[in-house]
Amino acid sequence: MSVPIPRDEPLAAGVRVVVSPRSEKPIGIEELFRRHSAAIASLGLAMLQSVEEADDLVQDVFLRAWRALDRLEDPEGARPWLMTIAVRLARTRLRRRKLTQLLFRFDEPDFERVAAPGALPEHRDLVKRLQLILDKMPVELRIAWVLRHVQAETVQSVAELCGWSLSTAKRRIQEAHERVIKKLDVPPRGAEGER
Amino acid sequence: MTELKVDKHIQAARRELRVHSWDSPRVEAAWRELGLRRLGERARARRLATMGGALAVAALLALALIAFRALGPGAAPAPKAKVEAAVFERIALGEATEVRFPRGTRIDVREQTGARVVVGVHAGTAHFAVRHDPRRVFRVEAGNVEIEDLGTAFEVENVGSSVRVSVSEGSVAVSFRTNEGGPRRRVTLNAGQSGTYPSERPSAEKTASAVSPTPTGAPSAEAPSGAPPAQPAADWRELARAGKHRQAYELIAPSGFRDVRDEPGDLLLASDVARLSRHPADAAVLLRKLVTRHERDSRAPSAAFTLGWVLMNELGRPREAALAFARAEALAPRGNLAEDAVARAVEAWHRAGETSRAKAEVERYEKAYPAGRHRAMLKRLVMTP
Repeated sequence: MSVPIPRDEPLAAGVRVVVSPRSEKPIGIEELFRRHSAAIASLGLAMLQSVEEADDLVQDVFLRAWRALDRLEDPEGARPWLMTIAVRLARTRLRRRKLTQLLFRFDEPDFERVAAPGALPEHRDLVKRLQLILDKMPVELRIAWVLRHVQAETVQSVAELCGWSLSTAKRRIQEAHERVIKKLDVPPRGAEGER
Repeated sequence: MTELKVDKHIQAARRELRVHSWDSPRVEAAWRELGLRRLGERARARRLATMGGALAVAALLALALIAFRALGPGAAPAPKAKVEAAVFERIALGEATEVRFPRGTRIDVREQTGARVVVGVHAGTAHFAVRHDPRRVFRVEAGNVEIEDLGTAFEVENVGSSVRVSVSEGSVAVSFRTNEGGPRRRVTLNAGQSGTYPSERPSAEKTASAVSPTPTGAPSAEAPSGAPPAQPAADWRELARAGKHRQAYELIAPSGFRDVRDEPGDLLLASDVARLSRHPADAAVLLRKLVTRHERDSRAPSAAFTLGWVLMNELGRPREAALAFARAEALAPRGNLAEDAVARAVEAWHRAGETSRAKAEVERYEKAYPAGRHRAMLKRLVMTP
């Protein structure tokens, strides 16, 4: 809704609330959004490497959460619940992107924009190379690596967010990391000539 | 390069990754967008349900017709010239003149000649866009209320005991009786005004609210003086804030929103009440009033944006929606909603079939927002036939 609504007014009819068994304090979708949207946006950017897609992901995640709010029994579990939805949706987007690139050979993300605006040129190049490596990686490995090494989630948490067993999560993180190390070890094109 | 060095590189790359600037304005904008998307989703679900119902009815009717033809001796009788509407049906009634109505509205065209067009609204809501022609009378009859256009776009809602008229552009003349057999009164409603008028056999207890002709907005020169004031709408604001929009609407709508003060906060709250109780036409009138009368208020741009959204997604009037989005941008060209407003205007022009305008707006968007978040979506949109 685009009308700025004072905080004591409802956003929409039928907004469901969840009551924490511990606190008995109801939590609505707006509170969830304000508390956790930043984390979802950050996860979205790390996974999808696009601010626009990250924004869309935030919308999709909270739309789903809104529809299924009554399934959230404990507000304390909101963050992992939302993150799980985000990981699933990001996975779908990444698979779709891979298919599109395979079929049409366009719509490649602009990796230059993934680096921070003030990053030094050599760091920008590093970020770009890393993102290219991730982009060529199978989606499951990429998700595992980003969650572990960019988002600094624990292995246990990666397993839970992705719905994998602990051993599968460990194996995928390890395999992805080996690929990153191997490919990042190759000097960038033209680097020899510069020496 | 050793593994340790590569790890250092990874750490460096991680530090240099762009951080999503999820600041307060962005959160607010995203939250608003989420609310709008949720509303749109609900509207779509309703439309799908309606279409499903319509298809089921159509299938049953088709089966019945086949059975009748197979068993009956003669052909089926010609259907009466009354239209049972589907989702946003449209009837053209001459050059730049049309009526649009959602499923459930029952209307019929009683007369259509060069000198006179008469449309009956039996039940439900119909939106009229009429190019004024002084040589032709354009009249809508709803119960015993008659609405005559004076060059306009307006909406008529017949709920049986009363008829509600909302004018979004131009003006209309409304003629009605306050009691059975009494003299007819005539009022003029201008853009931004609406009124509720008694229809057939008004009951005594309704006389105080529904029967009183109660146009909102500035009184017209022809408006009857001495009309009884509406009953104070007790706690509609409290009901609205408690999320009881339907009840709040029932308190303020019969009096033609007379209890809504002509100030931005009240207009916004009332428009929320109307919108969330599924009366988008009323919401549009209230939002338009806010935008036109309080355009310097800081809430005017977002009201214009919401107006565009309602017109495009709830009322199926993309052309007007595009203009509303343009207004939202013009009111705050550097505001949080400006970029979204241009993007939505593109979508609205596209939906209105104005491809060249949509493309021109995309070009303007790209110039103004070279790294804009809607770029890809807009390009895809204008590439879609």
